[in-house]
Amino acid sequence: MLNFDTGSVVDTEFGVGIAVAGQQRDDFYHVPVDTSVEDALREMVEATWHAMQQHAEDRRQYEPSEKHAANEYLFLPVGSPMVVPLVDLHNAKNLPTRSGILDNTNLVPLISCYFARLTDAQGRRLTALHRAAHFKGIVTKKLIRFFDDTLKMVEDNIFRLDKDFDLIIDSEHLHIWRPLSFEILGNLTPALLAAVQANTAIIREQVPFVDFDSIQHYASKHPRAARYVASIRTQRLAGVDPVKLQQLCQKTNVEVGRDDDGRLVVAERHVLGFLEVLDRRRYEIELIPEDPESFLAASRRKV
Amino acid sequence: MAVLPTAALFYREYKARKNHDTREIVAGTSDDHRSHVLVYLFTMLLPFYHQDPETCRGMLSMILALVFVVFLFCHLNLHYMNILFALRHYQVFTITPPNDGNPHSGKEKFVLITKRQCLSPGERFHAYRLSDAVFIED
Repeated sequence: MLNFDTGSVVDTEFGVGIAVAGQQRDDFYHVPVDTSVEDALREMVEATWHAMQQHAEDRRQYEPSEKHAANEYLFLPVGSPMVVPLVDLHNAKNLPTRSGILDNTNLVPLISCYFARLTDAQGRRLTALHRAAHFKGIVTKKLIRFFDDTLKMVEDNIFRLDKDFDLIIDSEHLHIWRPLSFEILGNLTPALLAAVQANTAIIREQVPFVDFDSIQHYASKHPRAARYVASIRTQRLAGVDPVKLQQLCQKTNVEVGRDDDGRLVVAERHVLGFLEVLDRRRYEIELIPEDPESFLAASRRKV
Repeated sequence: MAVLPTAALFYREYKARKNHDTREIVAGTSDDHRSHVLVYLFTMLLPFYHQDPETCRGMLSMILALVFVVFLFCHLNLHYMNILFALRHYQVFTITPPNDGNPHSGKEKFVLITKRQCLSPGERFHAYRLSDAVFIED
């Protein structure tokens, strides 16, 4: 459920995100709009929520290691470290207003997204974002449209709103409709790389029989591995059996050894494979007796 | 000098209400600028001091007085200050946003014209936007 009443919106703010040169974050500005744009933004929010509800049965938590379709209804709690930049926007107070920002042709190419922040009668807030690919796509082109019964050139800057948003944030969850947009808007890759140390520390506590030093070193430089580490952190790890883990590694062609303390040690070229095992992505199936087959699941779902 | 700024200000208020140009703002610390009305009155009354515009000296001093008034309005950011607001029991506060550690929260001060007598830190309200830094609340 959405922790927001779309039927009692008392305030609708529109704004844009501007990519900051040299930094992996955006600056967000409030841009005043009239009631027709506010109505369009509310319709977009309702369209997004309606589309999500069509897929409510398939709703599941976002996993950074998973390969997702273009449109999937995923969610993350607002306390997740993966959503910090977007939740900061959601919670931001008194966003700076820049009424003329869209007239600045130097800034328009830097627009990374546009967003709406709605407040309902109970004071709850909802924030919705969309990447600005189409929004600024036609800004420099001259368009034609009907004036009376003739076509005329339009010289003004024109921006296009989409029919729905990529994601919605309420006070409890970040509801994702386009996972790729979420990853880009949330600057997910650098955030995951930066979180490798914290994530491995949490995993290490639950899987103390694995030497994570080499894994942490590798994952802090490789985005794919960093995604696996972030995903493994949310997996059930308590009770993992070291013998069975080693056996599955051997069956799925992941070389692991043991150090003097008896801990499992993974060579650098097998770190990705080991993380795939721990993330339940490498598995063996034996439909034909004595002819086991090993597979790697790019996308998997618990049944 | 008195009519044009007032007309522009009230037209802006009319447009903001018509377009429902509102936003939620949160108060941090606030300063009551009731004393600015005196500055406003001073600048408004300045052109009324008598000078003979038919002499070169009189015309020059009148122009200088007007330039000084415009300068005061711009320099002291008094475009939001108007005696009619005071007559309607509005107060003018300069609000410093709360320092919440959020990198996206506004850091710039803004002006709120409101009928409230005081503002508490953290208080939320919806106000009409007169400019990027001036808001009016019913």
